[in-house]
Amino acid sequence: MLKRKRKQSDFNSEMEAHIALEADRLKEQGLSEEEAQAAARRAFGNLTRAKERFYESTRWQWWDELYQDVPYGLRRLRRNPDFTIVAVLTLALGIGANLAIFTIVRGVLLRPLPYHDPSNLVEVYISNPSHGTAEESFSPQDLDDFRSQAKSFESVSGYWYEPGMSLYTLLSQGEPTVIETANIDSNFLPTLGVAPALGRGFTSEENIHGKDKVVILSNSLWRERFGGDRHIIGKPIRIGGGELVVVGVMGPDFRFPSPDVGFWVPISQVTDDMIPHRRGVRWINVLARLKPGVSPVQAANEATVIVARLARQYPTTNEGWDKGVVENLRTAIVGQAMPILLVLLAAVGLVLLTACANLANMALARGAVRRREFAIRSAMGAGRSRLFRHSVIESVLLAIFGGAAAFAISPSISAGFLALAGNAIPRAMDVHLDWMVVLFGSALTLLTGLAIGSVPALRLASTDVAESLKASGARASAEPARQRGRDTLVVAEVSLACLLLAASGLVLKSLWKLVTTDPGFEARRVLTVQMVIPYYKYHNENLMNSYRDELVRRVAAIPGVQAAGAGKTMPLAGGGEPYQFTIRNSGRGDIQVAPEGGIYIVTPGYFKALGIPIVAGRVFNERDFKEHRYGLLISRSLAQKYWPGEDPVGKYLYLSRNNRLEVLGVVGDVHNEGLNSRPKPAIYIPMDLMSRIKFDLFIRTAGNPLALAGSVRRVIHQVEPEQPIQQMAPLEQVVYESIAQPRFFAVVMAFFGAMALLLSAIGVFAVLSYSVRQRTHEIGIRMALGAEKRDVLGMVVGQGLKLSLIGVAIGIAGALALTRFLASLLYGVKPTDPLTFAAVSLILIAVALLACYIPARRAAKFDPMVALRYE
Amino acid sequence: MLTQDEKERLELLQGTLDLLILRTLIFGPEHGQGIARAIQQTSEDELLVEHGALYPALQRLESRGWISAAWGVSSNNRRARFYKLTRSGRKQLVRETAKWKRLTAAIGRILESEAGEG
Repeated sequence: MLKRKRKQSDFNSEMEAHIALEADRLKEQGLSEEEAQAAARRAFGNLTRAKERFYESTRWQWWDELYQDVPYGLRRLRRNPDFTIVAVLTLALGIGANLAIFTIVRGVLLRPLPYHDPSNLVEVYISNPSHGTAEESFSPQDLDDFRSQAKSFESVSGYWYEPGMSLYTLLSQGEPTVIETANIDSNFLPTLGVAPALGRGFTSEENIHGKDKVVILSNSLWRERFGGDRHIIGKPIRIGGGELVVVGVMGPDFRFPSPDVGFWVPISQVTDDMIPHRRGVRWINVLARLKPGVSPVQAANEATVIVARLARQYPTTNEGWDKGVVENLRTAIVGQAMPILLVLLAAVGLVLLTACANLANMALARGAVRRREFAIRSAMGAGRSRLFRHSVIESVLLAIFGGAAAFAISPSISAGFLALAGNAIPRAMDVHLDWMVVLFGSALTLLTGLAIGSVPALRLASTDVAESLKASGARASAEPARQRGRDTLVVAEVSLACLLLAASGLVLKSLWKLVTTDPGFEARRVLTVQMVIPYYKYHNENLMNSYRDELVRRVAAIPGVQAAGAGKTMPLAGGGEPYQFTIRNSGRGDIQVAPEGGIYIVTPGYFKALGIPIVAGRVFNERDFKEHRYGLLISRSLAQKYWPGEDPVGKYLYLSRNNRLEVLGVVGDVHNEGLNSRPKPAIYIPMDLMSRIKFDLFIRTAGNPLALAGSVRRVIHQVEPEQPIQQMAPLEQVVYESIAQPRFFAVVMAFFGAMALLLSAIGVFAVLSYSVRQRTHEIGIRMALGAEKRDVLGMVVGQGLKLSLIGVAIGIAGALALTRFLASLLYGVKPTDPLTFAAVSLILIAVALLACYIPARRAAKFDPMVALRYE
Repeated sequence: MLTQDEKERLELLQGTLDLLILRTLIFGPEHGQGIARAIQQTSEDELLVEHGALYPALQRLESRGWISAAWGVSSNNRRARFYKLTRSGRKQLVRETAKWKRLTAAIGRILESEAGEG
């Protein structure tokens, strides 16, 4: 129904006509022309006001009025600098924190992976449900069979990357440097739908061992090391032990499977003796692209059919490995961080909600003071809707200032969060401001402004004008309904704070449990050194072993060193190798032993250096090898699993029919895969049996481990000047960094909890101060009638306490309902931990009491006579 | 400038003005000034129509479709905007009149009883 709007000029001429007609009538009654004109105008009243009203009732003047209302709002904000500053700061922090978390969520979870049609990219795993292994890599043979049989995939590619495991020493252009390397097959880049920025990818010929001395460089390595030479394609580069021909250079955005990778080399370069090409040894990651229209579930079903067939076909190696798992690539990359980020997003949203309640409360208090002003303006003819708009515009202006400040500070906040997170958050380099963040921030700002403004505005709109005018300015607002509104907001604030505190309490307690978990080793006073043997010099096992033993011996001889040993992997970092053993059991048949925690490759000094207790038997020693007496150590839980109630020492484990290893001893369980994961049955075998070019040195010292760093470095370089030292750090730091993710989560949650606590304390304080001011007169009467200071104190504190208790009760109820969503992120704490809930309630009530105390004391100090006269 | 007499005139309750305008227009099209004068005269000068409030009211009624307006020429040859009742305006007048009568009767009963007690 579109009605043509009347124009202002049309209305004006109608007004003129009215006055002319009125003047005509008055002239007929005998007035002079001038008198008649004047009287007619007088009778009409305020002509401008009439025009204004007409103007207001049409709708298209909305923008014009905004034009007036905005400067008006700004003037009002300038006149109340205290309120404005507090509100803008609160909003800046509240919106800023939301923006920061959202920026991270956007970068990590929402931004599509930078590959062609990333939604069809999946990782495929083989799984052994009876064994409890959910996601395992493929063996080369299994992958070949899988690739030839699977129909759900457009392409299937195998790659191998383990941080710090595949390394090349780059000798061209400058200092020898160890380069992290991913081994990929020729399908890898086509599957991702990515081509090198320069040159080409690998050909299928280069999948064959011996024709594979080629390399693709990462963009950053190419720029930093080779000056961005565009003619590098086809040229050889020198690496330890030989040369590689550069066939391609990736684009700057390509960082798969890790941003640390500098070289991509053919998977056939994984040398035979490093990783056996046996069906039972599963080490190849499978990346695949689904055919259009094939769902991951269908693909997983097909994968299960294929691997189950292989399990029947090759029972010795594949028995039990009969389930296929297909996981979206993005989930595979960010899945672990997802619950944490979502919980943080929810938490920071609750903080903003608390801030909104707080500011709405403050605005309500100001609204109460302004109520008379509004009533007068309303009586003078200002439309209700316009008054409503004034209130909303004011708070939207506040929100815009706060939002602008939030945009300014949020990059620092998210950078701070990410720095705190360390490597705990994947895709951190994808985190930056973009249109979606800006859109989110703007919408959030606007919504916040509307939310804050509409509360007092609705109150005002329901104000009875006549009542307000009759009541005196200050007391007008003591009416119960208004106080109820403010009380409700405070209760809401306290319960939100309670909910957040309960959640952060649980997370903190969980972190505390992690920190106090006994890792199974003694981390204090241990120095760790990450090294890769320059294998171009030590190219066979004997050379490697004697070089490594010489290193360990020389380091152990440094004054102040109590013990030294080497291990293939850092404790807590996982990396046990998935070997399988057999226990020959004459009576009951053979038992397959695949240690869930894998096998760990160590030197004899490892256990003493790390302080891992020997439970039974002894550690292997150098004499064992001289006498060709090969033995291994098992962990306590493995001993209990396979030899319950028996002494396993002296028993044998078979690697193959003719290759058996004696159990020499039993060692304590170690959290090899991280503090938050149960110690799993593990086997330790001597490094001499499986030499590794990459290993870590563990050096137990008498004092501060870092004090010996210089001498350790010197001694290492005395033995081999070309030995690169990747990293030197106290083991305690390694332990500390291993819990970066839970610590990041706990610290940020605690930060949000503290913000909510502070806001709710301010809320309680403000509502009580206000109420005390409102009740000055009443309190005066009470005191005049003989009430003691104590009574007044009790009355005010009681009022605050009541609100806080209701808030705490609601908050705890909400927390009980919601914290179960935290369950997967907690360690050693139930989501309804009574101790945490009790502590949180006590903290909140204590803080609320503190917030009550100041206004209560002020009330108790009233001079009854002054209070009575106060109006 | 108002005389004592003018001050004692009754102010119109909100909403009442709409009813009176509709009622006035039942006799035929009239311009704003004419409507105001008619109300004052018919009420024997008891009711004061604030002219400033009249036009927004006309505006309101027009937008609701109860009256329609067109420019015309007044009896003394002045161009003026004439308002006339529409069909739905007539219906509204009937509805509002009934409501008003019930209301005044009810208020009247209350006031009578109070007067009786006092």
